[in-house]
Amino acid sequence: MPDGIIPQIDAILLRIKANQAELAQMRRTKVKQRGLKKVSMSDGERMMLLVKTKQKHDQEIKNMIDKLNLKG
Amino acid sequence: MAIELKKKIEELIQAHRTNNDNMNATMRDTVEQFFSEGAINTYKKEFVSEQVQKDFADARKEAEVVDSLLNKKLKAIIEAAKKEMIPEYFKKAERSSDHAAKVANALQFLMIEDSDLTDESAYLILKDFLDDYDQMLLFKKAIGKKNALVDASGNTTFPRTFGKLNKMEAVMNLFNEVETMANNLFMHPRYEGETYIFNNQMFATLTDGYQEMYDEKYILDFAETLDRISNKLNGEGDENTLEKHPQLEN
Repeated sequence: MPDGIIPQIDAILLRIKANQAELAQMRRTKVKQRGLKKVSMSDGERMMLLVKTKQKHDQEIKNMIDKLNLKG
Repeated sequence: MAIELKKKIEELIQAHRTNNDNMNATMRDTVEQFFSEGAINTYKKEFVSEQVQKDFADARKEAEVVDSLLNKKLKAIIEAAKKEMIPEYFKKAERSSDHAAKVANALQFLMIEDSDLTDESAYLILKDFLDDYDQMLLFKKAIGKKNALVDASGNTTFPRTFGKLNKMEAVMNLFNEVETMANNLFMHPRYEGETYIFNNQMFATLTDGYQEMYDEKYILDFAETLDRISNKLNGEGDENTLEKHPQLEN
């Protein structure tokens, strides 16, 4: 195992934590910004947004892990 | 410097438990969201079942990713501690160009002494090789063919010659135990916790099994022993170290 792998793992774990917090925040959000106004968001919209964000997060974490596995 | 292996492993175990709690909290949130009266009146049963199943699977998958990273970190921490405690094992011994001739000479002397070999004479013959772990291991095996390496009480008969090697072997054995347990410490299969039944389908949160608890307890015990030995080697030891590992006395 190469030296310096621990900080890299820590960085991924921190990223996952931040992503989880972002998703949790989205789940609680009932409104969205439209111009200067805040309008309510439907369940369907929120679900779509969650799915998209989750996909983006999964891809980001997958890339980080792939990079780690290449070195490890 | 103390290796503080136990503390580091405890932190990882705590992180694993927090990860489990987060996974189960996400599952409970999903249940609350979809099994509420409002949701049941809003969505079709099939949609709810599908969505809950998907959310449970996602939460589980994410927890497994975190666990595999924690397991990787655990292995890296153990390897770093091993390097710190027994650097000789990782360092290739410096061997002079006449190394083979020196080994042949030493073997000749050992053969002449045969079963009359004492710790003193073995030390004089092998003192040039004391830092060469692999070579000393071979000499130990060779001497062991003709001489008893331990007495009736289990104490080494060659403390001066093999004292350093014995210490390293004792530490290596402990690290082997720790590494075996660390291989899958956070990757054990989980068992069903709280269960929810909806539309004839069962959903369950997940909890750690008995094997995982057992391994966590024992890996901490071994890590504590390694911490004690490390402290002892750094001159900060306590009496328990020698009680548990008499081979370290030399």
